[in-house]
Amino acid sequence: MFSCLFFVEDVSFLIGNTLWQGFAITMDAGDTGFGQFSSGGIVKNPLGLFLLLICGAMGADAIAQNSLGRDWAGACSGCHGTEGRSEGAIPPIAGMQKDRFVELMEAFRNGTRPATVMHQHARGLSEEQISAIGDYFASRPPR
Amino acid sequence: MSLSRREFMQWLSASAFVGSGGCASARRSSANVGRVVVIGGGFGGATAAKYIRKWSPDIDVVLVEPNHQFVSCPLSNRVLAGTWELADVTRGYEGLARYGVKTVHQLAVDVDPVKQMVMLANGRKLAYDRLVVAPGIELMYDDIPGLRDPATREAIPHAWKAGEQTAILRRQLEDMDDGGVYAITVPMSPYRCPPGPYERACQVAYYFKARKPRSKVLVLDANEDIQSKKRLFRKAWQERYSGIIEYHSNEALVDVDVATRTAILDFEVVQAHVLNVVPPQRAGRIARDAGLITANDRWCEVDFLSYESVAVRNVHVLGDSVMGAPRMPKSGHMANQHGKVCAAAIIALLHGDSPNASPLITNTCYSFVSDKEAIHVASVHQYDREQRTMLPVKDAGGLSDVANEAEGRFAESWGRNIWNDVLG
Repeated sequence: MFSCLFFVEDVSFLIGNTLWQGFAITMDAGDTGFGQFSSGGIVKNPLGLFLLLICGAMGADAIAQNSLGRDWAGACSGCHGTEGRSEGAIPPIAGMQKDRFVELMEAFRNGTRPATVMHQHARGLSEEQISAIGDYFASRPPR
Repeated sequence: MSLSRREFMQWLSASAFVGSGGCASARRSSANVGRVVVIGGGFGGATAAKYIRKWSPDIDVVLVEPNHQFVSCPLSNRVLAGTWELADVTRGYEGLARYGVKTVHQLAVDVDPVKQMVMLANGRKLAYDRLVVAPGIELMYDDIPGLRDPATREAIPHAWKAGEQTAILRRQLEDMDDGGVYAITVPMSPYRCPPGPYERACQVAYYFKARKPRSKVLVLDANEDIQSKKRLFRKAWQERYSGIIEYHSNEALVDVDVATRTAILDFEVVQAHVLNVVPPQRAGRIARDAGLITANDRWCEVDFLSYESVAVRNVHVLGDSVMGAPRMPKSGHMANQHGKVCAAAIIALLHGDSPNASPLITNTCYSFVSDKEAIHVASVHQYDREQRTMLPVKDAGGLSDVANEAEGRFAESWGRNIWNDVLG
């Protein structure tokens, strides 16, 4: 049930005459609600001097940020189904692109998209909530 | 010179920083961090049980529920109209097993909050680190002398807990001759499902109009007016069921004569052919026995960040038993929302973290006014840090414009989706 994958990317770039070798780590914590988060660091070559710059960011903040989206999206799943996998007339939202999600919510808020009930829900959410919920549903498999 | 991916991975695995990152995840995957017992497998309790396991498989969850099947109150009024069968609002608990929820089909009879133990009817005891109490409502017959004997409720059903009671009421409506009177008494708010009595009036009237057109529906309401979707119900009654539905306000029930199916109210005495008494309600019995009732001798006050009781530590209360925040209805949908906020909070607390400080909950209640057309009331509730409660967002929420078939289809889809969300 639990899966945790680390993806590591090499990044190289030049600042002045120095070649910096960097890395970026993305962790995908699957279904745990941790979701994905990234971190990175910079390695200066050829001296082997390690500068770890953003490591701290991998801790509580990233985790809290991810579980916020998960928690807030729980408000949607009463109607749209667990993780947005709806059956029947209510549209599914699992796997929806974040941009599309944000655009739709904005259209419901300003009334440019007609609705029976969604305009009344969209007007109750903050920008931060819409963004985090959009991230969450984008990360959920449609089936 | 450049660092190869393999060298880099070796460095990575040796570094303290990744070690701590790895620890955070290992902590959640392997070691068991505690056990949660959930009393009550309705919209609130089953949701909490499922989501604790779904989001944090390192927590043991035991669900205690005497019934072997879940029968949904929402949408069960359609069974009274004959549009649906009871089977259409009935689901099993087997889906929860996929999440690793252990379900025990027993009645919880007592809680020892000091030893952190739940006593079951079969004598077994269950220890907990955190307890979730979601027993729904207890029907209060204390002040209705004629109905104190539970056997009378076969003749005078409440049908306010779906299942056998729904079937009894449906049978009585079917057996009633054309020209008969169906009367429903509505208790003072707050009660479970504010629009429920008025939807029920529509559903029974729909059946009468089609099959027994000389019959009448009498709504005898203890409140001074319709408690939810007032404009929409009034319109439905006027346009669709004129001459069938009659509404009397400020009529609190005093007593019942069971033999003659007579309701004795504050200002009138009504004899009916089918009498449906919805009595006043309070938090489920186990909530009282566990010392969780703190408001008006009826409801349980909670911290809305975690749904932890204000009276008993490590015990959380969900759903209809909760003393609601402003404009928070006692609805299955709301209980489902409580369940998810509570699940996230319990996960955080058992891992030594704080609950989310800005929970979000929503409500959408559909009511059918005919076999196909529905109306809704919706609201969005955000946490207010100063008042330390959930408050409805002013510019959000609202009602349907008119009853319509599209919302009838949404209401059916809502049922499938929320039952899936509750039960897996």
